[in-house]
Formats: sequence, structure tokens, C-alpha cells
Amino acid sequence: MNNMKRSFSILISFLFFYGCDEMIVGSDPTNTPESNFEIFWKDFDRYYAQFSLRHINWDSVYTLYRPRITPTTSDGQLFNIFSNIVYGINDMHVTLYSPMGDVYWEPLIPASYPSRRIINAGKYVRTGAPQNSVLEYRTCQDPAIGYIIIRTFEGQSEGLSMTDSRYLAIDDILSQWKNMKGIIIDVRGNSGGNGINAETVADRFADQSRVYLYQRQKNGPGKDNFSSWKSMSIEPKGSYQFLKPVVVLTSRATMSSAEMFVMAMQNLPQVTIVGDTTAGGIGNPIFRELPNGWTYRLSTGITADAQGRIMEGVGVFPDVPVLTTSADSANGIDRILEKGIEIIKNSK
Amino acid sequence: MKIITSIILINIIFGSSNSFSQEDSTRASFESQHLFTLSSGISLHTVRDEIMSPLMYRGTKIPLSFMYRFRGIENRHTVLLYYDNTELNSSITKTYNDEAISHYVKNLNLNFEYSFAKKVTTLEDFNTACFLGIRFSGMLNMRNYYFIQGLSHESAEQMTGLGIHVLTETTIQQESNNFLRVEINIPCVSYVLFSERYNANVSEKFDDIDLEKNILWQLFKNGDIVTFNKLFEMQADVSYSFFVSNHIGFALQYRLQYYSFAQYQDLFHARVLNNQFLIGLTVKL
Repeated sequence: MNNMKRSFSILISFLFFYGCDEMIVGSDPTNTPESNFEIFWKDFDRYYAQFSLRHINWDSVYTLYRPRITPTTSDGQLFNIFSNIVYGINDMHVTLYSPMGDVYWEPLIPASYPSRRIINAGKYVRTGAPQNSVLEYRTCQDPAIGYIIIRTFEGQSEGLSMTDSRYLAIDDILSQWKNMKGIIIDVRGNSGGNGINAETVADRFADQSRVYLYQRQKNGPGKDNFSSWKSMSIEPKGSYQFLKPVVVLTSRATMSSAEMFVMAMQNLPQVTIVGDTTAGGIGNPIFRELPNGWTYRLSTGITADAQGRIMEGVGVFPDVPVLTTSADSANGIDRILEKGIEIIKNSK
Repeated sequence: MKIITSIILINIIFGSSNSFSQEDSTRASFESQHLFTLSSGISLHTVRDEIMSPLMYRGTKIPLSFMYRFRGIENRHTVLLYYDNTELNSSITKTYNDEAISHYVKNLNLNFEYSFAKKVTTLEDFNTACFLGIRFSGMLNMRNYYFIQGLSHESAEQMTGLGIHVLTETTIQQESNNFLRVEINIPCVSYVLFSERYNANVSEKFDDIDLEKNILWQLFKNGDIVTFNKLFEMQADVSYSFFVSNHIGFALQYRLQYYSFAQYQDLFHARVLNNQFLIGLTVKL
């Protein structure tokens, strides 16, 4: 009987741990305006990679805003302070998500910016062709020219293959289009996603292994803690590589991993980039969260093109700069697409 | 030659049966046992991974555990497989129709263990035998942090360790097979993957991984051998086994698993606590 009692007392003493998880792993930081500001500021201080690039003295941000935060600071006041900070960073990958709204800096795109999308599609592109959820493909009115619009590179990796399998449909598309004179790939409205998906598509146009960008990461708390530059390459992959003329259409709304795609394609000899300069934000962003439930995103890396030019805040310059104006749009003219078709038609 | 072989074989067979019968006569109520236990119950998983979030995430789930135990006269062998796939919530998790839509974690916890222990002493007054041995364990704790709009980052620890295994077994009632088992395991040396992370995207261990090559193999090659300075891991286990027939029994088990793993020059820690209350069906052979 004594043994029995002892057994249960041991069991009960272990049960004690069940309710003590906070004691063991530590409790949450307090949800106060000061605490939220401190975490927000410190996260940027630790992880944000582009202060120097964007000429920001982050310590001065603390000096300026910290005294304004008191225990009585309201959510609205805190939101305004965070918004000012986010706008001041001028990085499209820095975003604050809160119940009061999302705050982010956009590249200088006018409200009316027709260059970001296809205008009067029926005039240039045949309809009714088979579709894929991420790669929409059909032929131009000239059936010798293929047209693929990629609206996103979003998509989670599956297992360890890393590529979202929907993007592998590019193999089927290209195998059907071997006899095409050329292909136009439209990423004008593509705001990015997973860089691996972008690379997967670009690989199908590669004639050989080519470095297309360099990245370095903020990898320590010190202001100068960066990894060495690491190159990224594309190389021929898939059942068939399309080595005939290709035009990639871009705009200021071509962002993030879509810009990686443009950089990868720009290095290929048969590819011409047509349109506007891209947004200029690659940055390898991460998400963080605060005890008050707000979330933010920040850039942890810096990207340069194959020639070593920093792309952050600058963007990728097109080989053939063209804009579709509001007047063009009103008249049903897609100036950028027209230029792309012209380049394919005139190619040898 | 055949005759000699036959004589040796007969000697071995009879000799061994003799030795078994002697053994049986000396231990009265105890024979070597093979115990197979399939358990389930409830687990409370708590995580604070400073690389990913300042917040604590926790959740309960129904785990599944399979355990094989060999109870010899002087030694013990245990093999354990454990699976737990839990959704963890924080103080800021937003839900819709009871489904987490933001600020939640999907956590996969897999464990494999093998332990061997040898009897070191018997406390007759307490009907308790004490064992000391070693334990080989492998653990994968993989988490997907969903922040907002389905956007997520992955985090994980994988550790394979060799450590101390301390075990006591108390017979609750004389002449019965019911026993209380208390064990404590502390890995001393571990081979860990996913180390030296600085944030969700960055670790000097996998910054150079070639995504086109075998990722698993590259991760494995980039592991670190660590000891208490980087990883403190502890697992305690209390179980009570009672039998309702010669071969069928039940096991009530409480298990506590805890580890604290230091990342990036000890600046960040991943602290994981897993409490399990399990009830299992045991078959004794």
C-alpha cells in the first residue's frame, strides 16, 4: 500500500510540470506600447539588411520615436509612429500588417499606370487556349508567336523538390511550342513569390549555366555582419530548352522574385527585356510578429545583378524601354506588347 | 563427426533448458518479458523559438506511441517510436470558425529511441531495482510558422544523441507483474542539424546549400556535434503497468520532454516542452 501511495505521489509531482510550461520556456513579453516598440525596433536593428544602402541611421529612429511612446500611447498613435517608420525606410518589402490597415512603401507607380497590364488583350492574343493556374499561355494573333503571362511566382515548395509543381508545366508548354518563331513572357504585373519557381521557369530557356545574381545576407547583429556574396545560377533543365527569340515584358509593378526572373532571363543571348524598369526590391524578406498581434515584414538581404550592380531600390533596366501611356490605353493600344511582337517578328 | 555434433547439440539444448529451469526456480515471480505497448492520449506541446517569434506557442493533440521493452533479469532494452502532429496557437492567434487563420504553427514531432540499461543495485525494502545505461535517441521537431495571409516560415531542430539512461522499476505488489517505472534520460553528446540560424532565412549552415542537389544529404553533412553548452535536453518518464491477465495489460504513462537549443552564438534559444499523458495497451510475451 505504501508503494502504491509513493507511486501516485511521484505521478502527481510530475503532473505539476504540466501546468508550468511558462515557468520552463519563459512567459510572453508584455503587450504594452513600449514593449511592442522595443521589439519592433530591435528586430529591424538585428535583421534589416539595407540601412546603409538606404542611408538610414536606425539609432536616430530610436532616439526620435522612443520618447513618444508611453504606457498611455493608444493603438492609433502607435500605428501612426510605425507607419512613419515604415514609409521612411522606402523599401517595398517592409510592410506593417495591423487591424488598422497595412502600411507599405510602393515604388513610384502612378495610380494610373497602364504599363503594368495587358491592354485590349483580344487585339493581340488569341483566346480559348488551354490554361494553367500560374502560367497562362496562348498564342498571339500571329500563331507563330507564343504568349505566356505569369501573374505570380507564389507557391509553396512540395517536399524537398522546392519548386511548386504547377510551374513545371512550362515543360509541356515549350514542348508544344518547339516550332514557334518566338515567345513573349509577360511579368508586368507579377509581384513575386518564391524565387525557386522563377528560377525553374528561367532554366527552360538557358543554353548553359549562367550566374544571374549575387546575394548577401545580414547574418549577425552587428551593422557590418553580412555573409559573403553568394551567386545564383540558372542552367538548362527540363525536357527541352527554348533557345529561339524570347521577349520578357516588364514594368514598375514587376517585383521581388519576378525581378529575379527578369535578371535571369536578361543574361540569356536570345532574350530581350521590353517595358519599364522593375520595382527594385528583392531583399529576401522575413515576417515577424508583436505581442499586440501586428505583423511586419523586412528585408534580410541585398541583391546585385550578374555584373555586381546593386538592384535594391533601383530595379532592372529593360533592354528596350517602352511605356504604354494613358492615351495608348484609352485607344486600346498595348505599346509594350506591340514592341515585343515586333521584336520577335523581326528576329532572324 | 555427426555423432559429436549431435552430442554437442543435445548438450546445448538440455543444458540450456536446465539453466532456464534453475533460473525459474530462483526468481519465483519474475521471468524475462517482452512487452509491446501501443499508447495514445494527450500531449501538450509548448514552443518558444526566438528565431521565429518572441511569443510562446502551445497546443494539445493526440499523439501515437509504440514501445517495445525487454525486461531481463539483469538488464532492460527499450525501443520507442513517437509521433505527434500538433497545431500550436499563441496569444495573438486569430481564428475563424475555430480554425486558426494567422499566427499559428503546425508542428511535427517525431522521436525514435533505443535504450539499454543494466541493473546496478536493488533496494529490497522498496521492491525497487535500479538500472543505469545508455540511450540513443533521434528527434525531429519541425514547425511551420504561419504569420499572415498563409505566408509562413519553416523552423526545425533535429538532434541525434547519445546519453545517460537512469531507470528504476518498483514492483507494486509482490507476486504480481505490476510495476512502476521511472526513468530519466539526458543526452550528453548530440549531432544536431539546422544549427547556427540567425533568422528564418539565414544560417551559415545552410546558406550555401545547393537546392538542385540532395538537400537532405547536404543538411546532414552540415550538422554540428554539440554538448551541454549548446543543447540541454532532458526526458523524464513515469509509467505504471498493470496486467489484467498473463499477457494483456495496460500502461499509464506521463512523459516530459524538454530541450533548449542555442542558436547563433547563443543569442537565440529554441525551448521546447512536451508533456504527454498516455494510456496504452500492453501485450506481454
